[in-house]
Amino acid sequence: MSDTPIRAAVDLTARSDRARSTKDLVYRIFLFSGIGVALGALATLLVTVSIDGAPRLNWDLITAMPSARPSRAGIQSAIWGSIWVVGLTALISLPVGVGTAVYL
Amino acid sequence: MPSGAMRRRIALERAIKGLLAVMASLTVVASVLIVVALVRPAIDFFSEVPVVDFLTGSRWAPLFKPASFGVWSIVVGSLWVAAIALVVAIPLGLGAAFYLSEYAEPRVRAFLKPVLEVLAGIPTVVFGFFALNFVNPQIVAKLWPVGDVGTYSVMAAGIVTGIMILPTVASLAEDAMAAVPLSLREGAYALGSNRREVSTRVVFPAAFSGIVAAVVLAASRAIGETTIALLAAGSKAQLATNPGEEAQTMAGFIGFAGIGDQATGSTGYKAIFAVGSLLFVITMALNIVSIRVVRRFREVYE
Repeated sequence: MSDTPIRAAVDLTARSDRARSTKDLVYRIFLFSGIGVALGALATLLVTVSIDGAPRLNWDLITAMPSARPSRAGIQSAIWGSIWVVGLTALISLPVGVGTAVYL
Repeated sequence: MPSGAMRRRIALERAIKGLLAVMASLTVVASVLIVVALVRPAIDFFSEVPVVDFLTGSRWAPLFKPASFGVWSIVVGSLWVAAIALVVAIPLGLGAAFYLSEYAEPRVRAFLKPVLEVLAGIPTVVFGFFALNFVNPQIVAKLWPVGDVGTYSVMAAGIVTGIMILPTVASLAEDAMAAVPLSLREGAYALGSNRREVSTRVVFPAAFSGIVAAVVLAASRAIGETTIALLAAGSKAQLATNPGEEAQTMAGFIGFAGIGDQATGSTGYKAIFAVGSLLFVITMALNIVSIRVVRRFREVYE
């Protein structure tokens, strides 16, 4: 095929172009799999949590207290616990944090 | 002689400055107190258990009689979880970062970055539950080829920890890539490079220090990750050679024992602080290494 030096050079470029585009494709697939796995994991997480959680998601869950009977159990006390923790954290960290920032 | 009002103003100014200084020192004092509270019981612990036994032993059984405090088995548990997490998060996180910074159109990027940050905002306990109830039974137990996978496995904990730190790697690495000046890319394009060549041969070396910083931050989060390990890696301290087995991690032990199966003041209770100190030393060493590497490879562009 490559009877002249010019022809040989053209062949070489064509071959390296083909190798280059294969590499590009592999690289592109690698990048997409990065973002794909992240989004896939997020979607799977949301779907499994929703499927498991949806039947229990009603107003009673929020207003009821924990109970020995699972069907009547709620999380009101746990919600108050979280509110206390978040509130106290804000109360302590905001003045100290902002004060430190202003001082610095 | 300043007037009364003036003097009051100066006094107020001083008082506020003093108050602010107290607040600034409070943050430092709190950090120091945490270290002291961690190290003092740890020193106590080492008066009861020789340091050499602690660091070289591999039987971790603080509740047994006779108790045994070979930390090596829970160190290995932590290393398994962190290593698996990094194997998941480094390639996928960097892939996502390169895609976002070099390939994605601005509109796609503006959509994907916040979605990734949603992943970063999921509470770790939800991830732990996901590992225990979905990833372990549905994925690891079905696909892992070696041995039987029980209720817990370091594999499931590691994979989910990797997913947890993935957005950290992606987001920080992407920031580092975005900081590489456009002129470098344009130079490479002008010489005939395509996107892949620009991203692997120009952007990657130029952003290397930032990428290392992102990976090390993710690594120290993975090694200290408690809730996922606590829920999904199991509580049996053993030198795991197969990641399909369960194995307690350092942070998992602290979380498990901290809930209260150790009598206050007992050697096992003090062991919590010894393990905590070790974990602290490990993450600090990681951070020091990262600062070194970042300095060594930093490229500054005007």
